[in-house]
Amino acid sequence: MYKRVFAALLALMLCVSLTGCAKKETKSVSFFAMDTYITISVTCEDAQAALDWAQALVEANEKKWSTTLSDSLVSRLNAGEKEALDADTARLLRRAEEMRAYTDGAFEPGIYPLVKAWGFTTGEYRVPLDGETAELLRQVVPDNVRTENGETFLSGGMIDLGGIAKGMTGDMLTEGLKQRGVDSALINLGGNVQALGAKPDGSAWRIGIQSPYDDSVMCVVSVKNKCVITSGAYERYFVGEDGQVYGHIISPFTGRPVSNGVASVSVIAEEGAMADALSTALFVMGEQAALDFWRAHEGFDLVLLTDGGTLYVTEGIWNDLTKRSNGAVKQVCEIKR
Amino acid sequence: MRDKKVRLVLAVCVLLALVSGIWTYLSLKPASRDSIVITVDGEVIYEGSGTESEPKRVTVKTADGENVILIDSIGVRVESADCPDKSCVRMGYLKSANLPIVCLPHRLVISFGGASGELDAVSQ
Repeated sequence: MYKRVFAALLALMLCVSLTGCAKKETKSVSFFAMDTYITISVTCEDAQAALDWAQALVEANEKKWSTTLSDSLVSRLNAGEKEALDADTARLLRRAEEMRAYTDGAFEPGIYPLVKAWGFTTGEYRVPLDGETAELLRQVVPDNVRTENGETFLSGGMIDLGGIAKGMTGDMLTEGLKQRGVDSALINLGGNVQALGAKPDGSAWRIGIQSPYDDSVMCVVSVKNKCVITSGAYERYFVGEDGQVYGHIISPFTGRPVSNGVASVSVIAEEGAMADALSTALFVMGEQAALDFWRAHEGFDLVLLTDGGTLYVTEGIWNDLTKRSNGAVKQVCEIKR
Repeated sequence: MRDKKVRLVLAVCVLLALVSGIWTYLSLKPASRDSIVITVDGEVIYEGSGTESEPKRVTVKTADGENVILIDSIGVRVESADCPDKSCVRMGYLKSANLPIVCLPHRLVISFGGASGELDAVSQ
């Protein structure tokens, strides 16, 4: 008799202990790194440990890949030094070159001499003279990363990975968090938004896309396991002595800030590095070339706003997009293949 | 006598297991759906809390007419409208996620946004 009662009580205790532990928690961390404000939110059993790891990774990547830190690995390469690369940096440089080739040079890591001359790295903005621009364009050396005997160096020119480093960092974060048992996380690297899985309640993440003209949201996309990365000249720009507005995205084809009728481009894709590089490249290409590029390639969707107020939305994201009442958008068009 | 005792212990066990199951369900359940979304012709014009301690009015003007939406400590309802049938006003407070308040003539819909009512991040 007592044995049976004891067994029953034991079973009950086991039942209670199984339901009582292993509870998931949601935690987030915000900090400044990579020249931007970063927020990472995770849901898992030991959320703090996951966040500590994530923040350390972002800070380590910044130390290696920044062009503003003079002792970063990239700065040392730009100074003509030879470096033994870690696996992550090798992967980033490889992906950057792949994206340059994929976009026919519209994404150009070698653009750094021009970005520097216009003052976007230092904040000392100026408009270079036409002759100087031509000379600077000659300093843009595509595909300039070489590795010999385990040492990497630049064959000429300089590199700026600002258009892909945050996207790659987002990829590394989602991969690493997944390995740590996290199945729901949202990574916001200064507006480069990357979602791991779905929200803790299973629904899709709702990501707003900012209007290029103010802080308002012009549309909302619902995504799971995808990133939403936006490029627009409105993020950073200066007004020249001639009264003209010069944006921070410089065309590798003209050597001047992009001014082609596109107000902003958002790329929605699974891979952050690809979406990051593509958003810049498609902004450089302009309205028609960007839409043609989307038609010719797979694996991503686009939300593109023109200066005239037309919001182009490609078919893959059309059903997951909610437009908002917003003065920036005059009409919305679905783009099909 | 013995059987009775065993039955009693088993009954207590079953009861405790049930209680622990319900407690687990409640503690893991997502937060209650307390945000609302107002749309006109599919376009979101308002997102916010489904209750307000101080009554708040949102006036929606469209080419077809006007609705005054009241959000108070009880919930959200259409206080007044100049549509012909006034069915939106008659619906009273919004009660169910599956039954939004609709003003057909003005193409106005008030629904629970649930946990997804607010944005998680903004891409810029």
